[in-house]
Amino acid sequence: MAANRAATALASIMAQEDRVAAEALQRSLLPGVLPAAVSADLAVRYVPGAGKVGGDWYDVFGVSSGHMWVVIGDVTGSGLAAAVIMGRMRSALRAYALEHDDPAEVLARLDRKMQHFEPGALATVLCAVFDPGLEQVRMCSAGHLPPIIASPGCAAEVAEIPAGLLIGAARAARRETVTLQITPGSVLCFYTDGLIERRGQLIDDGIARLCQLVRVEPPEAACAAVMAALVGNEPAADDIALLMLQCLPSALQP
Amino acid sequence: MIAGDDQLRWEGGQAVVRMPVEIDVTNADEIRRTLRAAASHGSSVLIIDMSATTFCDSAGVQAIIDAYNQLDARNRSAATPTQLRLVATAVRRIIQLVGVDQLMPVYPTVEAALAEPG
Repeated sequence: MAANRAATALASIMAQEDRVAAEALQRSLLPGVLPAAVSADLAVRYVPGAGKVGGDWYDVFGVSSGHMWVVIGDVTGSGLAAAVIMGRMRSALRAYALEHDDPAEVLARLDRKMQHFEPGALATVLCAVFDPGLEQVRMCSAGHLPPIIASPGCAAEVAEIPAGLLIGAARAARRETVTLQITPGSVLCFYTDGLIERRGQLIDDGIARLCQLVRVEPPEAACAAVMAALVGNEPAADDIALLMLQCLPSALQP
Repeated sequence: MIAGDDQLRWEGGQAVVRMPVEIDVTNADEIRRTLRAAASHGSSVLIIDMSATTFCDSAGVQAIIDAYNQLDARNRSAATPTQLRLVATAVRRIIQLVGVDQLMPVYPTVEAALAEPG
């Protein structure tokens, strides 16, 4: 399947149809399924901006320790160039995640790799590493927007994580992992700036608006509600990636 | 508004580069060139003035980081290093979210940035 899509991408590049190629590449790199044995529910959305695919991506995978990684990122720029860099970052991050459980360490290594092999490229990346029981999550952000967390019985909140310098910017950035406790049933919302950034509006207002929309409900419904309210039928100016994850209470485990 | 040579002014020995209201992919290259030119003057302080800026996307962030890296490289061999300072109000939160405030101090006004001892 992935090979078919890669072949499609290659053929399109040769035909100089960057947009089609980038889209095929982009689609082949966006998973929509959770690792087996994780008692969570997942829903995702990806919308290319202004008819031009960019470097937004998300990733969800398990590692042998039983931890589940959720990654969301945004490579600066658009078109095939950004999509190709995105693909490289995604694979490098997966490889480092097999070797290290600490997201700050993985992002530091990714940063070093990018600055060495892709000088000038910039990206925001957020990693969230869930314990096997989904009782806590360790997060590290490299300049990415903080996730929103809606816990049962509480208003949704912006996750309190240190900002961190974006990937590719400068040597020796400080990276810090924070641990957050998760109440069973909580919904976590990960997104890229295209979802909330609007000209003439402060970014905090966009984040606050998203916060009002995220509720404890099945991720598919949560995605639909957020997309309807913030995007609607308008063509998106910038790429949008959205990932909702609900950590299921044990009573609901299959 | 388009960034150009008229965007650079001097306050004593300190260079101040005024950024446009909106910074995106359409003017980021020009801003990058303006900042590079300003960075090459070797002033003791270079202030990127985003006090009028209400929108700055990742292309704008990239231009600022480019100026930082150019100065960082230059400062390693220069007799008199240049300090980079940023002034931001509406886009201050974006600058903070992408961690650029780790690379240079951010001030609410040009006056505050100028008043800071070198």
